[in-house]
Amino acid sequence: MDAPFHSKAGVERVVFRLFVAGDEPHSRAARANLGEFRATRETSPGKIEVVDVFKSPETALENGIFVTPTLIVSSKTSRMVLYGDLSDMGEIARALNLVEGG
Amino acid sequence: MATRRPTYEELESRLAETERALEAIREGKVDAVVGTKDVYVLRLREMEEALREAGEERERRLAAQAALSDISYDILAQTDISGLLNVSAHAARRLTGARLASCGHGYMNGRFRTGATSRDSGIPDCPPGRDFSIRKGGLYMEVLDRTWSFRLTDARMRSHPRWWGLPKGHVPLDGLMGARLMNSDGSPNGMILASHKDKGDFTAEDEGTLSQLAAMTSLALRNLMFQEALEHRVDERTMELEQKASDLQILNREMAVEIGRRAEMEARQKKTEEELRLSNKKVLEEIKERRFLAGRLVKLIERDRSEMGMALHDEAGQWLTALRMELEDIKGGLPPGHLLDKVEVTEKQTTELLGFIRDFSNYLRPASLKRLGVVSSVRGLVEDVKKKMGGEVHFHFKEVPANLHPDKELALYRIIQESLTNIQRHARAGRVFVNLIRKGTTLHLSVEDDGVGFDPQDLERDHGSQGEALGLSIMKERATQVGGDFWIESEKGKGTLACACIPVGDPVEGSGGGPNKIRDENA
Repeated sequence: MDAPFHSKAGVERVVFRLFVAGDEPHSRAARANLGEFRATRETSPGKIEVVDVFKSPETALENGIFVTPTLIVSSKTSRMVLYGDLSDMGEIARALNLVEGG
Repeated sequence: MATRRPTYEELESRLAETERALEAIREGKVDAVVGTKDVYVLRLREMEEALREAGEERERRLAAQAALSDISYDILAQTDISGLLNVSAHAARRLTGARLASCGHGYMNGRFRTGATSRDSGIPDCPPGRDFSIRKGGLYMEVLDRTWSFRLTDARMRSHPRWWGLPKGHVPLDGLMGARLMNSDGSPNGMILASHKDKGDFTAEDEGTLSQLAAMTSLALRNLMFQEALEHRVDERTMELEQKASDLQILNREMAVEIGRRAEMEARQKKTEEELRLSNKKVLEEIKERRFLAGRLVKLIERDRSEMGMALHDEAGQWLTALRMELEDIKGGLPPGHLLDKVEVTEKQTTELLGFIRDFSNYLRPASLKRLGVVSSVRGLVEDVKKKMGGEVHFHFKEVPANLHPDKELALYRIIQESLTNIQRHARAGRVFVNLIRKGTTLHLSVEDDGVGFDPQDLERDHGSQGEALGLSIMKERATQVGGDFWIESEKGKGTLACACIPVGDPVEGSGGGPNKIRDENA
């Protein structure tokens, strides 16, 4: 599992780790919605990692994930978990704020 | 690496995440569940969608079956083939979503006998009165000769090797689906065609529905054809029965006529037999009577001979004996003066003898009958009887023919003579009436007296033993011999009436001795 990375200014950056189940409909939608969320932000919200549970089920288990799609928004000090296809962009934003706020 | 025990806050946080994950599962927001051995994919929405679609499909199919069921009532309620084909064409459109459908029946030698078409307002009509035939080998023959149904998109229809295009004036087609109408043995008897699917192309389900409709239409068609055949047979049978009934009526009338004719013949035969029987009886009675009369006649002849012998002996013998004694006296010599007396006596005796001989001769055969005729002879007879009897004897005659046949004259004379003799002998009558009157072609004779009369039954009991009865029989026989009749009526103390009827018959020229004129006078 990759560790959170740091920004140019040395600020610890947020990591979006999305667990998906192949190209299943909700997973596909979650990927698309997360991509759209990143694209619409003026600054990069953080690093995105996509984990396919079909390929790496153990990673999901190690992260305590047992359903897909699940998004973990985490920083060094905080972590938020979202379930579903991420169609509610505000929910992602709120999670991001909470995590960034630490 | 040692495992750190999570803090209470961490456990609480994970529990909250787990609850949220479960909530996401309940809300159908997840794709898969990650287990320790496998990843389990959850496609709940797809499943729900599939279930919804399946439910809609089921509802749609149920609705289609219900529609087919409704249509089946309409189809089976049809009473003629034309109506059935119309209902089937409309049903094909309704059930398959076609905008154009047609139904044909009575396929034979490439042509339908009857057809029906159903189209929506956007489909042009065929030219009126146009009748399209189906040539052998074309696409339509697929459904008629090769398959029970087919379903082609428009592109596949036009690229089909048996597609020959449409005849001029035919409604344009857009895709084609058909199902065979069939006889009970499955042989083709027509078809249902559908085209212009309202949305997309015809489906396999449409083809199945059209096949069901075709099967139902075939069943109804066979039922109608059977009914038609049955009604036709009933009509034929009814006509046969009516003809037989008519023939039977004619036969009955002829039989009635024949029965009547035979009954009439039998009645005539019975009548003839009865007449023959009566005639035979009469003939037998006549034969018996004739035999009886023949015997009587012999007896009468014997009686007459005896009477004549006695008369000759008693009368002529006495006169001749007296005459011989007078002549012997003359021969022996007589004193003068006595001779003349003797001669006078013998002359008187000779005269008496001559009178007796004349009477006797008249009795045997009245000479006056031939010379004077029956009226004058009867008148003489009446005069003689009047003298002898000393009472009243009247003779009345009217229109007696002068030229009556001699046999009839003799018969009348003898009957009158016998009647008068009987009256003299037995009647002790004071008055006698003799009537001889012609009425038409019959001469009626009656001899009536006011004497003592007699009981005819006594006469019948004494039949054959008394001369009187014999005389009556002879009189009847005399009348019968000349075609007439004789009868006698009498009662004790009330006189006697003897009657005879003699047909006048053909006159005899120059016969009979009487004057040639009609007698009409009284004596």
